[in-house]
Amino acid sequence: MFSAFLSAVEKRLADPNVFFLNGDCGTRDLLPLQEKYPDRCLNIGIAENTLVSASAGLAAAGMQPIAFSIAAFLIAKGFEQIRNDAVMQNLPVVLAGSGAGLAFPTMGPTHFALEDILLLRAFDQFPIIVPSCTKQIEPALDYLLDNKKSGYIRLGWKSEQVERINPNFAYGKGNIIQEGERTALYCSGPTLELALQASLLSEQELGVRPWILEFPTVVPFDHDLCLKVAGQVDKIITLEEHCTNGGLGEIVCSSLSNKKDCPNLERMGTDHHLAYAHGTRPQLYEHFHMTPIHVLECLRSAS
Amino acid sequence: METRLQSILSDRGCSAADLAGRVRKRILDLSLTAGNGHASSCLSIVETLIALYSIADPYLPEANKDDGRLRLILSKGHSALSQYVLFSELGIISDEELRAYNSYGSPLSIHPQRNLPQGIEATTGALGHGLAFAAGLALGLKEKRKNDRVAVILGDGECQEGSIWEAALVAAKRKLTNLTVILDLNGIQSLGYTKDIAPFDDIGAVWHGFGWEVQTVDGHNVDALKAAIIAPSTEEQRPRIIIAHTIKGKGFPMMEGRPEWHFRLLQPSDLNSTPSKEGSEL
Repeated sequence: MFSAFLSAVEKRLADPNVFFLNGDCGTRDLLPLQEKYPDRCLNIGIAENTLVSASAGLAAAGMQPIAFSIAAFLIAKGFEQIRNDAVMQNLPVVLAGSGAGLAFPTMGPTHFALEDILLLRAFDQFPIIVPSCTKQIEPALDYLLDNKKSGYIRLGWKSEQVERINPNFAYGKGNIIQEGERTALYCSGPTLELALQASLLSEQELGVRPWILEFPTVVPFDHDLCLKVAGQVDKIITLEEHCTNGGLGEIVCSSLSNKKDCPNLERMGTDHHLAYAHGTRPQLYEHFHMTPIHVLECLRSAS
Repeated sequence: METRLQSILSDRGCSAADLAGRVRKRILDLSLTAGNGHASSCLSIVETLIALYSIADPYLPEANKDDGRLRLILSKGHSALSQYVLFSELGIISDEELRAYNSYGSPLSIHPQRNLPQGIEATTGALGHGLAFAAGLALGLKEKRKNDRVAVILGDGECQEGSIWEAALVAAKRKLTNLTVILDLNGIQSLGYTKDIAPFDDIGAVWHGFGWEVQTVDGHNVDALKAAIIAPSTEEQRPRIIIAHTIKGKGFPMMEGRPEWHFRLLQPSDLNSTPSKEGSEL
């Protein structure tokens, strides 16, 4: 996923107004890009506050900055800078955070970004893009830069070089990955894989094929699609590598809040994530009770 | 070319010191009427502002917007009233707009909000943001080959913020010679003297160690400040910091050097009993 992001960044750096500021994060694949654009592709050091503030300053000079660091650090350490320097002053800064969610599973909880969406949702309609596949990254970056918008691209890491069955990216739109009956799985980013696995189990064990909706743009949210499918099912399960407060699950809650005859909603996420945990990603999914089996059990209650 | 501030001084036939006195008097009057509790911080940077705007104009709607202006980031945003008053003297802010300072609906709040038509380049108030913002601005302007100058006014208490030092490293590494910092070294912060709270042994040496060219001046001497700002570089490729020794509350004896005035609101009796030393000359 990082290399796909880097490739998208490289294309944009052909524009002399684009800057790529990096908080000493990424891989050595970055180095040729720094050599190619020594004045605009900069490793500014381990300095998240300055990464964001300087990006806002670049925007004030009419430039288009992309601020890149590890997601957990960029959003939490840079929060006041995002708030005061970018959002409050309407200065467009593209934030890109790698290793979001549980993408650094062996690193331990300091490196998990599981409340970044919650934090950024504090800003009204601050775009939050959670790609599930590499092909969504370039159009997402292009959309934000072409439209001179601030926004957050929530990236995974190297292991997620997956080109999925439906790589569409349309800003503000969800994707129907599969149509189904009675139940629906709503996911974003890496939990699409979980949804696909759980769907297979559901078909085998319950004889029910759930809908799968993927929301690469978490903000602004595709309420129309959410409600359209909600009207056809008895149960929705949201799946996210994020605490269930403030993330996709809560967005779906608010989407359904004005709907009569709501389906039952179950939110699965990474609650209690500050308790110490590390391991492989499947081990962490077990830790957070969000394996295909857990999803199946939840679906079973609706059947 | 003369800046607007220089033209106004010529037209009025007054000196920079006269202007400083007039600005101080208006700061105190407005602090009283509008309930600004940061008057003493505003008083310590008056000469710094006059020196900066003697060298280059702020954003002026009728001027070429993109080249050659002074982009001042008031990182110690609680001194914004000084800037508003000076901008009123320069005709950028009308008297009516200035009178509305700190009232609901006025763009002129106690801490400044980005507002180019009124000369305000950045929203500040949370300390520790201005230098990094200015570094990004200077980097972008340098890349665009613009001649704008970027200046930052930092507080000495503000230098306790870690983000200042992140930005100091970045500005030095990127050789941002179009960036000048004026450190308002008044020795006082919210609840006391900086020396009693979190002092630097030798703040000039610290900045030099971070890769900056350091100059030290009397921060109430406009000519000395101007000279320090425009002096040719002695250390090539370093951004410059001017350590301006100032007196918090300068020009109002009952306030000078007294920490309790950091937040204290002026009362009418304060102004009656102790007239502004310098303001009274006008």
